[in-house]
Amino acid sequence: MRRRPRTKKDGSHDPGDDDGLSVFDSHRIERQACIENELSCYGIATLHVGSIRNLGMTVIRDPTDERKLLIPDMPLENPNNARLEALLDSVAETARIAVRCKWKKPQV
Amino acid sequence: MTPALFWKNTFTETRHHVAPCTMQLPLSLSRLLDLLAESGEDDYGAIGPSQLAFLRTFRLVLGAIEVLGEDFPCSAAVDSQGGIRVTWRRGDRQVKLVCPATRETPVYIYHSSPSGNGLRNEKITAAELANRLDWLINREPANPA
Repeated sequence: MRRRPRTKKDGSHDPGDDDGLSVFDSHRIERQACIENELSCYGIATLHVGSIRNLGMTVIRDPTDERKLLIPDMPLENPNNARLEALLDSVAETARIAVRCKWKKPQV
Repeated sequence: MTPALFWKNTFTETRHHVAPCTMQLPLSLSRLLDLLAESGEDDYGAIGPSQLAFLRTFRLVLGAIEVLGEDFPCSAAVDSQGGIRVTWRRGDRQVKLVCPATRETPVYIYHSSPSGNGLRNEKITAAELANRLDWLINREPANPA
């Protein structure tokens, strides 16, 4: 699910995933590097580009980060729409859990 | 009743019998409580539920358990804004309760089976959730009204 834009507690704007769901490209980054890239992480799930495209969605290279791909038409969180909920289920069914972990970036 | 009389009746003369506590918290409510173990935000937003989302979800699930007279294990997750999504699955059917973090977006119940799906986002009550869960477990007609 794509995150919606929001205003953070400090008043700053978080665009969410307004340009698309951002995912790492497994050909361009190692799993451990994915985990350590985040402030916290509970695991890695994989999606297959072909399966996503078969569901009618687009997968493009993230123009701001060459390690990543964007899925611009992934439904937003809590779409309040039966067709989009079904699409999210279809995406979840194609996903595979690759790593389970509990990572928190050490405080500097 | 005067404060003195209230105190006397309540704390000095009333005998409190506390029965041994043998009740076990229903698993679905326990899983909701587990969501409170985390709070704050990470790179992607909230990691704990908003108070509103938690209260709404807890009351709806508790109410549905009371209506049905039994509990059905669910999986619960927090979205990036602190809303809660609860999913019940049985065979090829599923029911989802979605309680967003704020009042701006509606609570809804989504259900699906191989014969179709549907979504209700008005007048969501514990009785309505119980109705959907009854459909989930009792294999009644695929598209409840």
